[in-house]
Amino acid sequence: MRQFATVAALLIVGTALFAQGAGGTLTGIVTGPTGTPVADAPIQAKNRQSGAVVRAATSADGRYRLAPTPAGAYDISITMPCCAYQPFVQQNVAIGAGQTRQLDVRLAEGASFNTAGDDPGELAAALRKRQKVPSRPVPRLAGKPDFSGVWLANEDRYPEQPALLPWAAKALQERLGNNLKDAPHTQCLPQGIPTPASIGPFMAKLVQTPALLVVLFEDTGGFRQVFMDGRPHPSDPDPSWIGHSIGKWDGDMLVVDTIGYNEQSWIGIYPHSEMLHITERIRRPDFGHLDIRMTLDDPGAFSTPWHQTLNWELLPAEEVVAYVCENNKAQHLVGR
Amino acid sequence: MRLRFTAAALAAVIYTAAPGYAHHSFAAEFDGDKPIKLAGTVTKVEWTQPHAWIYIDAVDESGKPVNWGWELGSPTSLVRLGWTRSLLKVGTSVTFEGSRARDGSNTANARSVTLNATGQKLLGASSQAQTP
Repeated sequence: MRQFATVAALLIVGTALFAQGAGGTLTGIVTGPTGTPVADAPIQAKNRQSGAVVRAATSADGRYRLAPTPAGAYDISITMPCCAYQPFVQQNVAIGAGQTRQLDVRLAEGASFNTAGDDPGELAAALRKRQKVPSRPVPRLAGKPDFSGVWLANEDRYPEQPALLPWAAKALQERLGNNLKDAPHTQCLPQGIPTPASIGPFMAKLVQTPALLVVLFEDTGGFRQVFMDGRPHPSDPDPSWIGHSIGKWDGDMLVVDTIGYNEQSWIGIYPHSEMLHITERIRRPDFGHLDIRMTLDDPGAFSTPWHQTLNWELLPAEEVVAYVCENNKAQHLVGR
Repeated sequence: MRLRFTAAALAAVIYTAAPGYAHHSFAAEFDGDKPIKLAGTVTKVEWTQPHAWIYIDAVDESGKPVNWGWELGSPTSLVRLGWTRSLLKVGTSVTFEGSRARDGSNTANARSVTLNATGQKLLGASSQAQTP
């Protein structure tokens, strides 16, 4: 056994040394559209052959360093949290063995670029600063973890891209072509799914009972119900903005299954069909966090299921408030 | 080798998943390439969702008085950053900086607000801004 362990350790060290020698380095600076450095930008390099991923975050002066192994062709991407900057992808960047290559990125303005009070990073930082999250065991309710509380509904920092069918890819191009001016939220309709998804950073209040989980959020509609009383989905649900959700426990993990979406909602900027089926696997690994693994399956819009991993943070000092879209001034929305 | 952005590189820029987006697309309404800085006196405050709006009386190039509307973030967000709805009262002298609307109206997106009496910058998306 010990012999095996020694051999295994040598193999690991050997592989690491070999890999280190065979990789290259990518460095650069990430700035916004006006040239100011962007801090804490999540940047990743994905190997085009193996799919292996290397990740880093930019420092306060916008600089990053990625050292992927082995040398080869990589897709470089940055997806900033909603909504100040547009996501960035540059495909097929060759990184040679032992070489250092520079790739500077200038992010384009996003949906809320520079709007006073709408910077999601600034807001999330302000929220985190005033929270005091106690270190205590996860509360339980009827033998299961209790998810009740107000949460900062963080997005996936390294989101997967959906594999869009041709019609969906065309619809996306049209949306981008007019600066997203027809997004449902611009008409005071619900922001979209997954719910909650509202003005970033998003907040959600979960209220759990043994047979029902209620999600309250600050957007048009404002609530969602997850039925945990054993009822099935309706056989022919009326399509709605939030769908029909049922939940079942798998040990300490709640598995929420949602169907019955209408086609009007956008998933961020992406289209979907009424065949959309979302599965959320929710765990509370400690008092202060929810871990949500989401699979979005839609044979009417995506060629393969789409996955996201969300990490929500408890906000004991916050409360959700009413949100009524009352003063929209959509007449100024001209597109380009 | 230092990579420079070329048309080809820009063409390779595609969108990745972004589940959430703010109320509207900034770029569909405002033009980041049309910066504007304007001093004036507050005439009206609309403390409303999805955006707070603050109107000021200013003067145009010919000296004629003009009323301008400035869009800020949602009151929900502004409150969490330390604002209150009575922070800017009618009659307060302020200077706004931001981006003009694409439709040519006297409307702009506010990036920052400065109190002219004290020089205090109230709030903005830029890192040097201070919350009140």
